Amino acid sequence: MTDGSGGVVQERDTWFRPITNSKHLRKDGTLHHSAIKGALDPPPVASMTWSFEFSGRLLSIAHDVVKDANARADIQRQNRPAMAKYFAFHAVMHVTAATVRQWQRFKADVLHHPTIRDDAHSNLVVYDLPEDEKLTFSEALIEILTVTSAAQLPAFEAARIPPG
Amino acid sequence: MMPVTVSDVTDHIPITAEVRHVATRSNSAVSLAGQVYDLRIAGLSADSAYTLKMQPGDRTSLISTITHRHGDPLEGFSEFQTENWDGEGAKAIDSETLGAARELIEKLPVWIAAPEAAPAADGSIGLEWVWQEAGRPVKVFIDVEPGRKVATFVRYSNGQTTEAVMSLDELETINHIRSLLLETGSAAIEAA
Repeated sequence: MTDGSGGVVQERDTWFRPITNSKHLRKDGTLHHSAIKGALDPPPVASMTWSFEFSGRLLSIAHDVVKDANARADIQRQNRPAMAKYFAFHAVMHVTAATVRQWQRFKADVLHHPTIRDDAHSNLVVYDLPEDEKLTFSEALIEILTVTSAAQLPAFEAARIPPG
Repeated sequence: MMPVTVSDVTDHIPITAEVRHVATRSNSAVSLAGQVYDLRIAGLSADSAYTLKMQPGDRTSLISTITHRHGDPLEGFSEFQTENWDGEGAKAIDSETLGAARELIEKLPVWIAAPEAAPAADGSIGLEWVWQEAGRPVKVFIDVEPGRKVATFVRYSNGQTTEAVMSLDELETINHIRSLLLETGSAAIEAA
């Protein structure tokens, strides 16, 4: 893991990302593509083999889903009081590693990239994605992601497996 | 004033329109798919009860009376004009990008439903129209990016997708976007 290539994630583990901006959820509760496309970052180390990474967390390690999401929203509200109305823990988007690996449309994976701040940090990475296909990827990813509202979190957390 | 309910059956999906009398320069307002539009209807006074009788295929005549779209999909977006607005390093949505998004929306025919808009961490503004056609999703995504760059994505009801990048400064761009919204099956009033 120290080379930055990422730790192996179990097939049954779940990658997730809290949604803390109300504008990233459509009126019908589905995900707006801006929640994804704008957060697709190139790998920080040029030698990495994937094109873009989407930052999130691993459910097997994250036992503080609500606390972490609320902390993120708190920081956002504190930093931008004028925008406080947008920021709260609204939902999580999530998908299993197996679903990502079996995806036909894009070559992608879930890798464990713990950080000093977050042991559970994980990236959903996509390979061979040109810059001008980020919207196509975002739309396709929406189709395999599940959005679970903050109110339904116990059901989401029930899918937690022991760390590998 | 009692609302008047109008049922408009189009070739695609049924639409229920609620005509409401409002104190504006228009005769009334109509709510289609949850969005409110002003209507100007010849012979309709501001305080009279009125029933629009719509028949299949009459959508064009209804569209021709729509004069104004209510609501601003970019309301509050000026608050994203600072760096790190999400606390995780988001780029500011600069005034040029916000202005370009507003310009794009204003240049679309008024009867096209307002998009669902969202700020993105890369400094862009994402506009979305999503609806169902024969049980299959149709999606139009338009991203207004820094430098007046516009990225478009379409998922047609047959599953085919296209993505393109262009500049808002090119004359063809707005026409291209209008065409996308029209050819994908009346993003207009059915959307949302």
